[in-house]
Amino acid sequence: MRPLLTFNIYIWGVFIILIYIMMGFWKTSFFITHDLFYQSFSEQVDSESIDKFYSNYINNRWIGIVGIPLITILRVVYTSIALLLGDFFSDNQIGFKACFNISIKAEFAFLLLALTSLILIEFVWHIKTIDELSLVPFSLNHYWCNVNTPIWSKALLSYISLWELIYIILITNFLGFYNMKSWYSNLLFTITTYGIALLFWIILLTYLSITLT
Amino acid sequence: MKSILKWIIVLLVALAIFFLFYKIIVRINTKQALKEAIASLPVINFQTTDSISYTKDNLFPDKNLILVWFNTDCEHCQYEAQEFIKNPVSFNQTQILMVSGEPLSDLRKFGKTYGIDTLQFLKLLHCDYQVFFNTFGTTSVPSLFIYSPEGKLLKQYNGETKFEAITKYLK
Repeated sequence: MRPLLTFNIYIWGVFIILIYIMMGFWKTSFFITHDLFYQSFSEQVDSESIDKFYSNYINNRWIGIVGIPLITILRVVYTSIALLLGDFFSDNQIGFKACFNISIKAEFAFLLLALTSLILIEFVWHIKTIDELSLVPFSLNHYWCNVNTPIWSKALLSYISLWELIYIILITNFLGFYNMKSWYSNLLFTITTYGIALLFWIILLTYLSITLT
Repeated sequence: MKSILKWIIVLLVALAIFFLFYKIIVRINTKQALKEAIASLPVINFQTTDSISYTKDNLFPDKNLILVWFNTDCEHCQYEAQEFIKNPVSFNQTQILMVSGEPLSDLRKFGKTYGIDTLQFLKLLHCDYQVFFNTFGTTSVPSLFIYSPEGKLLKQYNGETKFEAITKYLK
């Protein structure tokens, strides 16, 4: 853990963003094919329209790829701010730089998620629709999702996952290197800072999902 | 000072979470109520392009009903209209109501452009956006509601829908 925490923050940041971009590119190029579009939409839409949708998708998929670094940075900054707020009100006093370092290094959890997802999609799962590509493995959405699951609940079910647990554990461990407090004390700190921030984010996404669908 | 600020932030975050949670619950309940309400054809009060009232009493009791919420500028809605026009025989035993919130003049122009004003089985109607949303729970276009002759909802589609996906629900 300590080698990861002390690793150069900029090199690590560029490394994970490049990995995410590569994964994104791989997914959109090799998995989101015309056949998958057809399987996803053919029940309702005719083949000419599917061709149009696919053509639009091909022309605009670069937007998704370009969005990956932005989303990653936003997520890291959001977590950093949550930790920083907790730091400000507690006696930790580790500062924004440490919070940012912890957040970006804990991204290792989501790097594992991206790799696992790619391996499962490539070798284990038989993807039939575009929706299935966005399934988070080892999440409640993965195990409970069926045709009757309301669309608005998918955000909630996706976030309750093994990867968020790993993320929380990593943050907890990394905090220990900065403040020398007990693991349980740091776990409580992580849950009351990042946990609440995550809860707010999930509820916001659910609200937007239920309002816009 | 720090302690007061801490409790203010905690309170604000808690309020925000509870507010959003409350809105979610209200929205879920509203959606559920609407889903139950449209399971049978609800009370309708539309306007024809001649400004005449159109209600459930104007419907043929022995025919399926396809209700399409649309917009004259929407490409996918125009596709739906063309699907109906291209296959008049398949929809002969069906009544189709294409309903929009746009002004009657726009609907009349749309009817002339696509030759809908001459079709017996298809009617262009107007309904206020809010009234339609309160009744059917959607304003996305096109939205299709397929009802049996008994007024039972057979299928709801959101978005462009091909001919075969509609006719498989028609008897």
